Amino acid sequence: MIVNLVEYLETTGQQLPDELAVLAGDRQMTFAEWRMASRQLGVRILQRAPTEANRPIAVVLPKGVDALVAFLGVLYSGHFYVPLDGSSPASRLEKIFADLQPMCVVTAAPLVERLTAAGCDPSQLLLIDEACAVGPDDEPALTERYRSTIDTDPCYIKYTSGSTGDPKGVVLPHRAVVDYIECAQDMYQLNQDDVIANQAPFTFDVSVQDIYLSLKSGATLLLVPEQHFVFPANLITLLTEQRVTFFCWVPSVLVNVCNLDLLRDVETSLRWVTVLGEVMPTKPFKYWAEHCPQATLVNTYGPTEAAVASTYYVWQRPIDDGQPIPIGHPYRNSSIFLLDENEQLAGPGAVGEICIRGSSLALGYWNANESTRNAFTGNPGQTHYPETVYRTGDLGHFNEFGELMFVGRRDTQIKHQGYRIELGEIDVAAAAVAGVQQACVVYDHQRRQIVLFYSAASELNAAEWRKTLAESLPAYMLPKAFHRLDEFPLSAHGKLDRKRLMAELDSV
Amino acid sequence: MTAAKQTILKILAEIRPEADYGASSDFVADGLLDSTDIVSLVASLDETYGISIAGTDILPEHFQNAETIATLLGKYGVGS
Repeated sequence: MIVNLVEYLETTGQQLPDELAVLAGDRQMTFAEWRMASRQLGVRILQRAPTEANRPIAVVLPKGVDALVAFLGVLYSGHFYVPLDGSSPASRLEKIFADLQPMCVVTAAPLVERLTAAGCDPSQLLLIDEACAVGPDDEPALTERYRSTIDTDPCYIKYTSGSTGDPKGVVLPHRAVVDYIECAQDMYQLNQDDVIANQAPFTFDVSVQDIYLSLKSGATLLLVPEQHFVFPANLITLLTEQRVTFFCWVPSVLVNVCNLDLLRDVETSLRWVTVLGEVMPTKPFKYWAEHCPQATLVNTYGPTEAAVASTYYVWQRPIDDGQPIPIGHPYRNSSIFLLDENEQLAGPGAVGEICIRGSSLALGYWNANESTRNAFTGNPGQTHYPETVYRTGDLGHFNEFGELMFVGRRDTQIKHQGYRIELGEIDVAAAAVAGVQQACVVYDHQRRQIVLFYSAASELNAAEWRKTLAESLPAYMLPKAFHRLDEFPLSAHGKLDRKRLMAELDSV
Repeated sequence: MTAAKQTILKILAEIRPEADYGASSDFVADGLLDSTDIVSLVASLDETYGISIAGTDILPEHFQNAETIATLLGKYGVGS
């Protein structure tokens, strides 16, 4: 029985040493090389702090071979990794470092200046490409260290957008990820002949599936260059040239390929086409099904607070273009129920909040006990023993086939280009801009853009807004349109009425 | 500046008004445009000129700057 994620690399690194594990541009790595490099990094971390264990270690590296070595190296040392985007604004990184208090930061020389500007002490930085002297006692110490990691220990933290303005760290234990990977591999049955094409940034948990399915199965992990998602003709060329057999991408990529008809007269090697991260529109999914007849298409759903995905729907019966695709049934490590507004189980066919129970759940939020208590609550249907469930804030209902259907959100969280965004985080950043009296963002689903309404003594132009907001928000959270209002619409309770602002979109 | 380049820059300014296109020789590499911007740009060019740019022509070398975009438009019969 697999207890922790390191065991996947230990096993595959020894059983399939010379198989190609990672292909990333002009760099590649076998499983043996991955194992050796990660063990060496693990030794370096152990040498740095021989008596400490179970501490967070930030990994700030571009997507590539080094980042993958770092993730497993941290796990080998008995700690857990926190992937962070080095291109995030310094103020955002600073907030995360202050919250996280990492034991150290694994990074590369070009990022040192940026990290020290974000408040990192240079003595905390561990450069990935520095040599390490491995003594005769180091290997046994490392083995003892990673073997002492139990399945409820954290393996990683993923930071997500926070509604109060501060990002929040979701802490996942080894058990949650191992259980999910075992479910996924049972379904996908990948092996060393497969090629997994990764799209998700390493800060997204979809990438966790890509990495650990590769380690579990011996499949090659192909890190697709980001630019290929801007120019999808090159993406399709890569897909065919590298004989990709599996991917799990955000739906907007598939939509783009469909709109440009890029699969016409193309034969792929795909066995699995899976999506996660946003609602998948039906027409593009059908396009992919028609053009990849040998592949099985799967729509999946799941919050960051449960490892990777919680439900799946295998494309089977015809669905009309205007009808939504189900998010289906839970994986065997999860169970789903719906709670209505009275905190009771939703009746047959009724809409309720999607709640998840099972081994896939996160431990909670880092340093945020109140948020954790609010989201990870007791199961109201279980009175005989304490059971934790995760309340997603997503609304759903079961259709006539017993399949779960996604309906929408209960609050102001959105998905934009696959990124999960709390609109409140943007509100806070915008309201802090000098001269702004009030600010509120809404999401224009039709034009797929973030729109900021604000009141201020004088108008700010779009260029000024984006430049100022870029100091505290990542690029994907920057509004596209800005509208100054004399006054904001209020609800009967005197609160800012976001719905009436949404209605304003049609008139601006 | 040619009429086509002027139109291209006007469309780009509507998509990302804060970007300094004149200072860049590679809009995507320099972070001025992302994937949704390219989709918007192609849709606007199609609509402006009554053409339909093929997906297989949406390549980095055709969208580096106003000059390369104008050259691509020439392939679709749009005069410079």
